Amino acid sequence: MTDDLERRLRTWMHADGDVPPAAVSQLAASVSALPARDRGPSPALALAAVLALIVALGVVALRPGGGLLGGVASPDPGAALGPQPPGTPGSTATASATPPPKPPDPAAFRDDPRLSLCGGTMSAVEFVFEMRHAADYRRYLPAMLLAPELDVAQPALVAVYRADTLQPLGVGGAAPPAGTTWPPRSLAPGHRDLCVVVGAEELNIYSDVDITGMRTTVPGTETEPPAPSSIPTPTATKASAPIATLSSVPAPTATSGAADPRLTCGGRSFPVTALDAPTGAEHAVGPEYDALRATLARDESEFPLFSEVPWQLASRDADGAIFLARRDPIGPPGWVSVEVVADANGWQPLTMQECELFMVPSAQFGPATLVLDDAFPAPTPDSTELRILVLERRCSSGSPATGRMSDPLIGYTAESVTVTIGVRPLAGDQDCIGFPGTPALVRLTEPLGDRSLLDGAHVPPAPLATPSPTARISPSAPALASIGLGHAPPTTVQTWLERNIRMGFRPLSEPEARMVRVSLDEAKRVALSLPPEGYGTSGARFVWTKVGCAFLGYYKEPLMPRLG
Amino acid sequence: MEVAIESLRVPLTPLVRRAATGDRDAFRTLVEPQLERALGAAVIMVRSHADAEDAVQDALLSAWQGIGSLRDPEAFPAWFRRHVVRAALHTAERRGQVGELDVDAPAAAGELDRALERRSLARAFAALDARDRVLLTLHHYWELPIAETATHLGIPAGTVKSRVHYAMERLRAASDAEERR
Repeated sequence: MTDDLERRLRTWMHADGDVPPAAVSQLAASVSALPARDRGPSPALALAAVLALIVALGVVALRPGGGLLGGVASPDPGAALGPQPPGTPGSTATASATPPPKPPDPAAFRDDPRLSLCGGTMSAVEFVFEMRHAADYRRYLPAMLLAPELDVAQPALVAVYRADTLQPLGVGGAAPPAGTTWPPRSLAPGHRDLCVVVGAEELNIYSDVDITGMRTTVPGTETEPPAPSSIPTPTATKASAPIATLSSVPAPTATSGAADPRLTCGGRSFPVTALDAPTGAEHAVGPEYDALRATLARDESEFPLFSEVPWQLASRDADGAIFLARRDPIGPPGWVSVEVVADANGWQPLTMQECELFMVPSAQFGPATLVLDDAFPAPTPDSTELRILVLERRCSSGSPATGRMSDPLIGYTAESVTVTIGVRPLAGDQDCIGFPGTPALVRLTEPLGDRSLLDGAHVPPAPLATPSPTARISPSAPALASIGLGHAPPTTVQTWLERNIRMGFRPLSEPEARMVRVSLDEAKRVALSLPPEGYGTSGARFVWTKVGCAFLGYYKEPLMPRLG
Repeated sequence: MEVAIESLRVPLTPLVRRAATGDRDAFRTLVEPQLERALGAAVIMVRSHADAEDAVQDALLSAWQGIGSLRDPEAFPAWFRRHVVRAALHTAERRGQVGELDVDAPAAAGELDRALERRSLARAFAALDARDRVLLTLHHYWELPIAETATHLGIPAGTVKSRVHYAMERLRAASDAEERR
């Protein structure tokens, strides 16, 4: 039965939805401006890349400012992405016979006061472009971490500093400990420093931003046609080298032998070949596949469109299964995983998550990343011993990895030495409290030479991070735990803070801790009442912790820290 | 009023296959008959012309990137609508409830009452949460089959009618509140 309200609603809707033909035509015309379809690397290539890691054939151009970034600067030689000669900013703008510079050429913004807010000179900036709405930042920079302060409708200007030019406003943070200096700062491959000016003058500086997949225009948001400026994802290339061998002398804390390298998204591991497994799991028959479909339906709002993409079974046993789907058809390259479990009630959904791939030495180990232990001298070309800290990626309630580490899996090539270590997970539920890292000694069968030292946990392998000379917080200190202090932020947050704003951590002594007068709840209440509004309204997504005498709030999702 | 390309029964499979190889002209041929309704629905759902255009642009982009995974090319219209609905829902949820709408153009004499009524209804509709707005738009504007509406919203088909009923009740309450203002 159609009541009066329904009739009125239909009438109003058809009037309200009567859009101008010009708007429709404009949308249709925008199809020609869509970027080239991003099919992503083929599964075979992905498999090859991972296999290259396992057999220690992987070599990646990892020097900051080197091959990778050199290759991304101008993906379209004809586009306005060419470097400006230092000292001659905007030279093309003055030539009467040449067209005026267009974004992302910085010269197009030479007189824009927002660019001057970003500091530095024109030669320090490689790309400049505008976002119609700052909130669209992940359409332009799909790999950038969350930046809730940008979640506003105002327009914004983005300046991408050159790879060899770290953001010129300087970084804050504490002075280095007496008698020491901060290590030189460098960017990870494919990362840059960014300046984002929201509105006329709200300045935000972001350090070490992953600009993979960056687009300087997004169809429908700009007046100019988009310039194809996709940044390629780092890929591995083959080199000739023997198959990886285990260290003949295992680390002192090693607990297990047989190497059977596998991949993991953090939970259940699966064979490397699973990346090339046949697709179609979303249509397959069986209770585990029903659980997959139930998970896709359950998490549809968080992972829209993923019921439309092909899924593949990566691993299955009597207790559970893990499925993978490439994210490429509907987003930036990468993987999404679904884990389902079998219990007394049958197969049930467990998790659906973005999958950051890590390599583990075998199925019984969880992933761990490595940093050089700055308590010892940095390795030299003659070094056959590496002093490292092993950072367990799974939650361990702050327990060290002592006695749970695998033998190191070491691959040697002419260009690199790749070390992979796993950590046997602790049983039962564990709190996610950061731990500063478990010291380990890795012995090489040949001197390091001038080769790069790579952490094989990453896919592809990445250089071992060098920690700052600061001490690290020890969240398991009993004296602090007894008075409710000592919770450290996740290792990822600590590492970022150490690397980018030189904020180190140390445990409070008990007398210091007892001087703390502000409660965690009070700090949270005050902090959430402060602008920008986004922090307050997103409070439920925040985790608050005490770090020394400061209170640190961080998003449960990866968050893009900023200066400014 | 359903999209012309469906009523003319133009075979979609060749166009989808061409689009999947990167043929923008084929893709445009596929989407063009859909755009008027898509944009109209997005305007109703997100309550902003600019955001509606952005949402449809997002849908175009995601459909373009994902067309290679479309398993049944003849289902392209419904598949594309799904992209539109998701993009609009995402935009609508991000905007939350919209307190103010664009003011209608000045009404001509004698049109005032109807203009006020439309504005009152628009305010009431904007006060609904995003999922209610999307549900009512799919049902009353796009007039999609129950099964397709259920698919777009990820709800059982058997609950669509009841959810529409409750959404209408909430609209009725909001409308009454508007009229008391």
